[in-house]
Amino acid sequence: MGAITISGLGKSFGTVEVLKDVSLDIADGEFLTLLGPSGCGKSTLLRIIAGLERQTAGSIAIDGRAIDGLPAKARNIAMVFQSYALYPHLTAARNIALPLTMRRMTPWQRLPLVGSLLPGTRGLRAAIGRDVAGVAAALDIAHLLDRKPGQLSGGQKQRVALARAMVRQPAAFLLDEPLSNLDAKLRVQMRAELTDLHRRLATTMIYVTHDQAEAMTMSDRVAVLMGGDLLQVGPPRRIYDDPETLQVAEFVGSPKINVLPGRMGRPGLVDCLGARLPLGVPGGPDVALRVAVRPEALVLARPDAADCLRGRVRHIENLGSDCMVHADVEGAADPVVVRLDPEAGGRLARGTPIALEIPPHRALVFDAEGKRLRPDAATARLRRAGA
Amino acid sequence: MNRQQSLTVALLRHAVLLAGAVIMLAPFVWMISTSLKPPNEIFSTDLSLLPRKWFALENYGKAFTKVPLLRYLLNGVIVTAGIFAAQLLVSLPCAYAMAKLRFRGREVMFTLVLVGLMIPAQVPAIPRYVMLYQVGLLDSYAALILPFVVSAFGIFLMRQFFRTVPDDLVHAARLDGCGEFEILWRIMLPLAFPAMVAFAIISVVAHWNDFFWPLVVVQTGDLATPPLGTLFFRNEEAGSDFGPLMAGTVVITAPLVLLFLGAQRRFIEGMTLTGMKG
Repeated sequence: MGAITISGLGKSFGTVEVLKDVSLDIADGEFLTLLGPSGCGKSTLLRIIAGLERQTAGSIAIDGRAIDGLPAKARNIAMVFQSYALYPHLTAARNIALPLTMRRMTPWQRLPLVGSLLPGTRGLRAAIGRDVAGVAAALDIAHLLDRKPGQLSGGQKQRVALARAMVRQPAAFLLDEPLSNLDAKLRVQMRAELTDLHRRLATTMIYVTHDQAEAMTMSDRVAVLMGGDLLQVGPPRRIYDDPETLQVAEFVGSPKINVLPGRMGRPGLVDCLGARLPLGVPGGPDVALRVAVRPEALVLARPDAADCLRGRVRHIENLGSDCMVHADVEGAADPVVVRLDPEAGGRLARGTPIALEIPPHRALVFDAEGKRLRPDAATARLRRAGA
Repeated sequence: MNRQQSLTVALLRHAVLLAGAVIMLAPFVWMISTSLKPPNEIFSTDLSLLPRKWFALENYGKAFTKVPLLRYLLNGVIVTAGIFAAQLLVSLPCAYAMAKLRFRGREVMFTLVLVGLMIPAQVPAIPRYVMLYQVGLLDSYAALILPFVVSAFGIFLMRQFFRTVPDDLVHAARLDGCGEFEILWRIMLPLAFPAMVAFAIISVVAHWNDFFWPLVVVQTGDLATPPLGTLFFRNEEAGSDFGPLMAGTVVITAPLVLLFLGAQRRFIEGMTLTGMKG
């Protein structure tokens, strides 16, 4: 069992606050990803959960039992490091066996020479060897057990590191950017394997990454962490479609979401660079807003259509499956990116004038501070105002 | 650079190195040569490396019989091994703590180690002598070993090496269930082996050759270390008998030279401290 409850967790190094009042409930068996840019505190959070660092505030519990005072070795949590952290002087087999050796054998039994003379040592060693072989078979590394880490490739080291974490059947796995040292192809493969592994083990996994593709493809839930603040927690789809803040909207999604300046027009309408969107968000007239639209949400309209963004094609990226069109839109500071199918994109050329329609249900509206404004709340308010 | 030029440079470089090597080696060659010669040839005016009449047996025989040379060698082994073992016991945990643990006063401690590194052994000699006198340990193995048990250099060298071991390795070991001593014993020590060999050579050479401290604390010949033994030899043999004296010094120097030759690669590995990568 491995339900992890984090409440009010804070960490400062001197005057620098790395984590601010982070609270998070992770269900047993869940795959939760901590997503954020480098330096956002996600690795620190992971290290605090592991017991490698002490928090300055708040508390962590596993299955309702507080573990704040416990040293790393007493927490029953395994971790896979970005650098794999395999012991270079030990073979893969002995790397994997070490956690079991430390847990199952007494200090006397662990002693070289003397240990092997003590009763029970041989039986324990044999049992450990069987467990190691079992895990190695599950991860398909049985043929590598006699090699030292220096003789293994990145992907193989990764598997050995996973095996070392798995072998003692911990309450939870912590994975700190485990795929970032692998090449792109292997990374995609390991992504699928990790998801599969999680399904088989059904153990809680907390996965730290700055790579949104990993977060989106593997997780049950994603927790977006920025500047030490936990901005949003939810299933990947929700994080992508329904971000709470502009920061989250901008961090998740590639190419980046288009952010356009907007303004409240008549009640219920938002003016955005010539487009009038019936969004029904709250706010007085003329309040400055920001309208964010995903590249794939924008629709190419006829050049003479009304209520559209207008601009010229600046740059076309044909990726084969999609075509990313960058357009200079009057009034927008950055080029607006539209994802089109290659056929539609192929008809455009640099300099072509285009009109882009924003489907109102795909537009996300944020206030000047970047906080999401939701239409439904506004409609409710309008209704109240009417009554 | 064309071929001919590079050849010239290479020749020049080798000439300089060769000259340096000759200057370094000449006294040793002369020592060995003298140890093989009879007295009349040692003082003859013509230069010759090889003796006309081989006198090795007589010289070496005399060296081993006139003074207890084997005893001196044994003393040297006991003292250097004792010092090195004790130095490891102190400096490994100390270096590990200073490299990988965070605690108040760590930086101050390290500064003190650096300061310790800069104090020559002669400076605290008199207080040490007085202390040993007061506890009644003068003229004993303890007097030869105890003052060197804490080696600032050893702590410094091992700390620098431990710092190159990635923190993640220590973290992984903690999660795997190792305590701090287990980490030191199971992870750090095997990784630091090259550095330990380098430290071993430096420590053993320094204390095998040390003349000053044994001279200060040892009065009885039975406790003399090899360099001190050479001195006894010279005193007893009244100076002029250079053949056996040189034979004795050859015997005393040989272990170190052999040790160095055997561990040369490890030694250079340790000194360059190219820690762990990957």
